[in-house]
Amino acid sequence: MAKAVDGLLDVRGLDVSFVAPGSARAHALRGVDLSVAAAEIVGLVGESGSGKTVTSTCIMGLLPAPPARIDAGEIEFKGRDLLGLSPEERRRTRGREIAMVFQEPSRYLNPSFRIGEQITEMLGLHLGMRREAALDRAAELAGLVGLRGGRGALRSYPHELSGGMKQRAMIAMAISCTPSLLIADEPTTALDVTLQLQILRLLLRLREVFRMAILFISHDLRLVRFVADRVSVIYAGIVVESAPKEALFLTPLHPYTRLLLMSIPSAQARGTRLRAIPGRVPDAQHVPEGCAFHPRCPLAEEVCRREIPASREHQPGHRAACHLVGKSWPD
Amino acid sequence: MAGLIETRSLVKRHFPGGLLRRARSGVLAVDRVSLSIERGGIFGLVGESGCGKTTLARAILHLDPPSAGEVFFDGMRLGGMRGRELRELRRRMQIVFQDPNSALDPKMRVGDSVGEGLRNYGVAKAPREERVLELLDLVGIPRAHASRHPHEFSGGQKQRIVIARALTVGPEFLALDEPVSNLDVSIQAQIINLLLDLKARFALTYLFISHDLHLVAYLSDRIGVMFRGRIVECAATAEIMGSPLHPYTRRLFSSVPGVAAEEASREDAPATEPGAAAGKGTTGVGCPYRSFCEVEEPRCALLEPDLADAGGGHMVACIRAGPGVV
Repeated sequence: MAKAVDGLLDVRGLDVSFVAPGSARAHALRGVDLSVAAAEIVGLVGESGSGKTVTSTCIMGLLPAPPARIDAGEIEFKGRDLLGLSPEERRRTRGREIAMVFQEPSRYLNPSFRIGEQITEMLGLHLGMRREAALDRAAELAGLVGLRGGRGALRSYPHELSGGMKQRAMIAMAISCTPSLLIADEPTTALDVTLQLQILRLLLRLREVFRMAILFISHDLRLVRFVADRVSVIYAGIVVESAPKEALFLTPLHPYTRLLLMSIPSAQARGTRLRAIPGRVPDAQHVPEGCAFHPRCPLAEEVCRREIPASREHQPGHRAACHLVGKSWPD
Repeated sequence: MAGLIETRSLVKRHFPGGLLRRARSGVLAVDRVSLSIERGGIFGLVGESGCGKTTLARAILHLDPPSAGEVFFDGMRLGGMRGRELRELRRRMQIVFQDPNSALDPKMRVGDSVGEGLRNYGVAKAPREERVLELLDLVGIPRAHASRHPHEFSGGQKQRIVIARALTVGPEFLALDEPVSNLDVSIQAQIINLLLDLKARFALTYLFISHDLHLVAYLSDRIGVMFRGRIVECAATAEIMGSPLHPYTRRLFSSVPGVAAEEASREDAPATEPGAAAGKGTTGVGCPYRSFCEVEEPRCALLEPDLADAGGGHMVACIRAGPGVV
């Protein structure tokens, strides 16, 4: 596989299963390929159960093993394979070089510590900053992420902040050590629409200010289109399509991507029927043979039931894993 | 022109803080809402969380009786009705909630859950079961699955079952409160198509509540925008999408990529939160939106604008957009 020119993160063939006694093996990731270049925003799109969060948790090194088991693959970050690092080395990378923002900030902010204490703790831990310097830095970060009230906001406890402000606080914490990669897992899903856009704009600004790369994980294609430079679509534990944003939205190659785009309602589509995708996303214990999408695919042929399609580069930078790229659409 | 549903100055107050600490005036969750839903139409209700969308729907159905104001269903005033009358009328108006898990009893077979409404109305077992199977069929659940329990179904299937249950009693009106928000994109489209089919088949009227502006714009013929308990703008879909008049509507629409005529800018804007979360108490005087408003004028602090026709049935509660004012 071609390596990204100034590749920051290169996930290759990541294969992860969940094995619990008494239940069938859940094959969550079946060879995920994903790359993020420095200062690039990559959108990872998929429905629930497709493997988005397993991918990000695995990159962070936060996957509990057991029940998780990494069977194959590499996660190359700045030239080192993260999977080969000692737990201690991984801990140092986490937060310092790769940080993460989650959907529900309230679950990840400690309710019994003030926001400022939580940020300065990160700074002390990873950068060895003294308290005074850390406090100054925290105030600076608070201003940067638009946490209203500056130092005053740092003295608040998480419950005193609104949802949007909590998410800003979590972003401030995540970027406190200026990581080169920020993983944002559905960062705006729990927020109202007017706040959503503000958080997206903030992410774009962080990229400008710090040249921070962002892996933006979402089920919402419109948000991804707004924020990302490149998009990867994941289905049943495999990245089925990956392309520069415009190419993905204007000339999607994989039938799943095409159907997803057609199934989104819009004012323009009023009066027409939505193109629904029949069936549902398979769960990781019952992934269909061959191409996992074939039972729902209007194009599927015999070969799709038999063989898992390899991911091929059809246009520069535009990869798709489908036997039938170019086959014309029925009806 | 009377709609199937008409509300007049509907008010719902909540009294948080327990019996002893009750604020005498309460919190206005729904504030003087007057709207009309035409028979056979889809009225889309949008607004941010906490703005009162769900409370309004519950007040319309008298699940929680309103604190003041009136609701008319097919010309009949719900407020004056006794228990039995109201119960009979409820057969004609049903509600579907966002989370099918809390709507279905996990210990009950789904067939029994679907038939529960009919049983409450005293329908005998045989015709009841026949009706249940017919409706399960219609919403795409195999008849043979009627004896299964909710956990054996996916989220999308459960929502189909809840929709079937709402339809058993033969309603004319359905309030759909975020019916697809918990579902994946590919499943959402299935349920939306189903709702449109059912609407055509049974000549239904929908109140469709959602935070998804794209979905509401796709479905509705009329859209109402709620802000802090009030409907601040209400117009035909093409009209409100094409030329939103209220500053809050404009702000809401421009917050979602691909909704507003001009594409949402990727540029950063100052952080303000007009939603209910901002927690500023209403002073009770002037326009409730004015502290977030980009076009606020001194007179906005003096007078709270009523919803008024700005021309052609485009209703807006803003003194800058009212009749004869530009």
